[in-house]
Amino acid sequence: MSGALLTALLRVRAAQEGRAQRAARFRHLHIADEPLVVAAYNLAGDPASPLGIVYGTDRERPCFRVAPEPRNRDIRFRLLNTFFSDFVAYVDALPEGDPPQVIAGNQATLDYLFRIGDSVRFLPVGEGVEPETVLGGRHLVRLVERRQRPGAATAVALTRDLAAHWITGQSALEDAALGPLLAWIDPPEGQTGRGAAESAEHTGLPVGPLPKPEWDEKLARLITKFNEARDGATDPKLVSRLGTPVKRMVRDALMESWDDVWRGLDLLVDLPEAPHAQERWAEDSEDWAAWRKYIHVPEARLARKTSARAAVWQLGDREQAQRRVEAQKIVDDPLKFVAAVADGLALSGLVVSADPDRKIVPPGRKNKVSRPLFTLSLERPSPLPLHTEVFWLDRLACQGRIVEMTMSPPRVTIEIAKGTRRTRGEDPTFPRLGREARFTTLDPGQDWRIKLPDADEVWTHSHMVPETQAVADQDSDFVPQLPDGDDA
Amino acid sequence: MPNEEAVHASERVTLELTSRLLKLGAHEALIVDSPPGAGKTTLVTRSTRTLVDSGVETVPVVVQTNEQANDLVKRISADFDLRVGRLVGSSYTVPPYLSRLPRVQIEKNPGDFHRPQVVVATASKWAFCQGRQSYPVAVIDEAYQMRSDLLYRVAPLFGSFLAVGDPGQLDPFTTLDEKPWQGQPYDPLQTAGAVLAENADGDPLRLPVSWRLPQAAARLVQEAFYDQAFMAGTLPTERRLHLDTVDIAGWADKTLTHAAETGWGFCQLPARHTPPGDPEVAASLAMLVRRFVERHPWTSNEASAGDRRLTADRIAVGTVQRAQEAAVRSALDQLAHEHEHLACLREVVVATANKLQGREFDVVFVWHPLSGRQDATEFHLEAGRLCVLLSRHRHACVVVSRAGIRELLDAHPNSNPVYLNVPAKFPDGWEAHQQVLEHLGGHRVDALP
Repeated sequence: MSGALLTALLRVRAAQEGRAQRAARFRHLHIADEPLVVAAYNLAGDPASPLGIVYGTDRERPCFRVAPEPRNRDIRFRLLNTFFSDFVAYVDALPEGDPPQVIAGNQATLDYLFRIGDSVRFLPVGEGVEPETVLGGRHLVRLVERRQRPGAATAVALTRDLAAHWITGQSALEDAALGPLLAWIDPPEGQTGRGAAESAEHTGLPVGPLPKPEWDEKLARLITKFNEARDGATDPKLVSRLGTPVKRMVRDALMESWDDVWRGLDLLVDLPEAPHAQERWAEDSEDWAAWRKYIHVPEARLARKTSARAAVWQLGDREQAQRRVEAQKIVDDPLKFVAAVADGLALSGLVVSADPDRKIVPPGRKNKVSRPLFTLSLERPSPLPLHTEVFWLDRLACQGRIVEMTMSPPRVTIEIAKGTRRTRGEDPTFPRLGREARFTTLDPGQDWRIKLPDADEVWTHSHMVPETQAVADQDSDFVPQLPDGDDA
Repeated sequence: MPNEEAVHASERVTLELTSRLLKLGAHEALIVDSPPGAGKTTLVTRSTRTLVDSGVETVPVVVQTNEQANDLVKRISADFDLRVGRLVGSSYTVPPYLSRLPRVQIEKNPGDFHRPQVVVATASKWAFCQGRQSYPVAVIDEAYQMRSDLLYRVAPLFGSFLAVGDPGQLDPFTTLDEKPWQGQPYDPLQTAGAVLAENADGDPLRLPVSWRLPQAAARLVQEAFYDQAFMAGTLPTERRLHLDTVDIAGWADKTLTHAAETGWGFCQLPARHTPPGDPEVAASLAMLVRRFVERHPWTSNEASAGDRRLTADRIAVGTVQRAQEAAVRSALDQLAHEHEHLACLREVVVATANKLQGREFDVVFVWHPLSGRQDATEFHLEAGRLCVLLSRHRHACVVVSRAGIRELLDAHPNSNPVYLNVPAKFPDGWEAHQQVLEHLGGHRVDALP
């Protein structure tokens, strides 16, 4: 939401100069030490028929898995079993406290991985379905779903995360294609971003999961030949031998995606990480630890449907995360701060008078309370109106209100009403006389949460109980993101 | 001479409400749909009185903002001889006038009251009172601005609800992607009104009269935004707005003269794509407000005998985004600063549609939601937003916009996905915009800023 005006300016400038413009000085997303890079293609017209997947944590050692006929269950599950078994091995090999991170080229690939995971996570084991496949599907869905929580970094869609840090001279819709986006940000020597993007649009395949029709047509001929040759047989050795032409074609396409995704990841990694990104990753880590603890119990069960209570909790949790991440970005990043100022959501000024020890008796109260008062000298009249609630960027818990303002000289006076007490044995800090102080209207929210009533007390929502209870035993039912004590 | 048809229709509904309210059973909800300015607050205060008289010890009232809570406390304490409790958050600064009201007690903890007959607090505050005390019946004000997740938090406190709200105003929202919940039975982003409808005893009661909107506005607002019928409570001759005839013949004066006569003004600037805080629209709005104040407006209406000076605090400027609010505010403050006779412009209320909900003014100036835009997003097309902006006034409404809205609408037909089990939204924002634009076309003046 914030930063609309600066984004518009940068987009115009990028179009004019033919080169993407930085919209952030820092990377507001933690990149794990060992993320898993994934690219995939699906068979046209069939929602969960993976043709081929390439994945790995090392750019020099990609693992290719191709199913020359994914519509055949045996052949498809051979691919899925191998992929998920490797995926579980990757997850298990990570050091304690390090959650997995999935890097995909675009949001469509993440959505696709979710779908693949979703298609296996409730399957009974046996008849060609390995236990790792079910577990891997559950892990994968968990990681991709977590990304809906603002600030989470368990799954990365490069187009989305690159476009959050660079503004190109094309539309947001065009930014959803990885090839052209990379060209805008990092064009080859001697070319403009625009020129390189235009040629990238016409060469090669999209990064996945859907290829191009021309490519599909060629592939269809190879698959037909393969099917005629195998004549219904699914023996692994035979499939492997006869499927070589299909494999080669899919592999070549995947190789290009593999290179593009790594290039995009490099661009992100090269940005210095914003301080708060690490803090948010620690939350991902905590959440992952809780999930692992739950899912590795042998009788672990998953709810197929969310309840009203879980949905209420999830919405509150995500909104809180959203508020905090927006405020943290402004704290961390001077460019984001400028964007907020341009949108009238922040101001900065020189502290020309400071009374941190001020105490008053507020109307309707009997006792004196601490209400520190600071006057800021601004460069131009305040864009924030009188009585606006503001938060001090150096310590977001320090919250106050604009109680007075003048046009000439442009000044605002801010009275601090919250965050004036000692916390954890430390004295509160305040803006200092003669220093620059920055305030924002973006509310970082609270880090505690209100306790939710139990579902059986809430008569207004009783009609929302799911028709079929997937799990009879509620106590062993893991409801995503609902820890035992949610008022911690 | 009042509009007798309106008075009768209104009395009939009041009688029905009382009888249904007294028959309300446990875990049931009675819903009252109210068009803009239909006396919702009066209804809330009267129902509270009815419940108290029927022997309910304490009637809790759930509102959505602290401002609404304070207004309601003021009204109840003025109209009835009831002991009113105002429950506030621990860090809330109580406005001084509130603590001076008779029979009003302000506390942070519901246990600290001395036998109040009514307790008013925001839904978020009630959510903190879980597990303490419960009440057989509660009144929810603005039930269509309250989200299902908040209702979930407060429901266990109360045995049944009288829920009152205006279904045509802005829906509650989230800045998150709503997709994970859309179309699900447990969607926490539904309105409390929609959830309570599932628990309702019979059809919603519908208030039949808008006492606020003048005849010139009631019809347009009803047709464009509501599927329930309602009429204006006044006759066309009862509401009059007069301006000094010192008309310096500029576009602003022309617009204002027209608006004073017809109740509508539409000021159109040359077409241009602009950022949200378009400085020319801000300047034009400031110019209109300035000329309006300079022409000594006065009004006559059904409520008070004789003519009345229209003061600056009865004027509002409604915007869509906060950047626009800031731009208009600073333009008005600048004028107030430079000219002594315009110091009153500081009193003019400038706010976004979200903050204007539930408020009333004599004259409202509106920043058209689609002005200067390159695209028409769901946010800008939302019918509730336009409805709030066009239904706050008692006398006249003046809209300012860049030209090109029709072309913009034509280029952006409604393409929202349809979800299973989610009733189609009424009204459709795109259609409502077309209808309003058609109407405004008849009041157009071209501005040359």
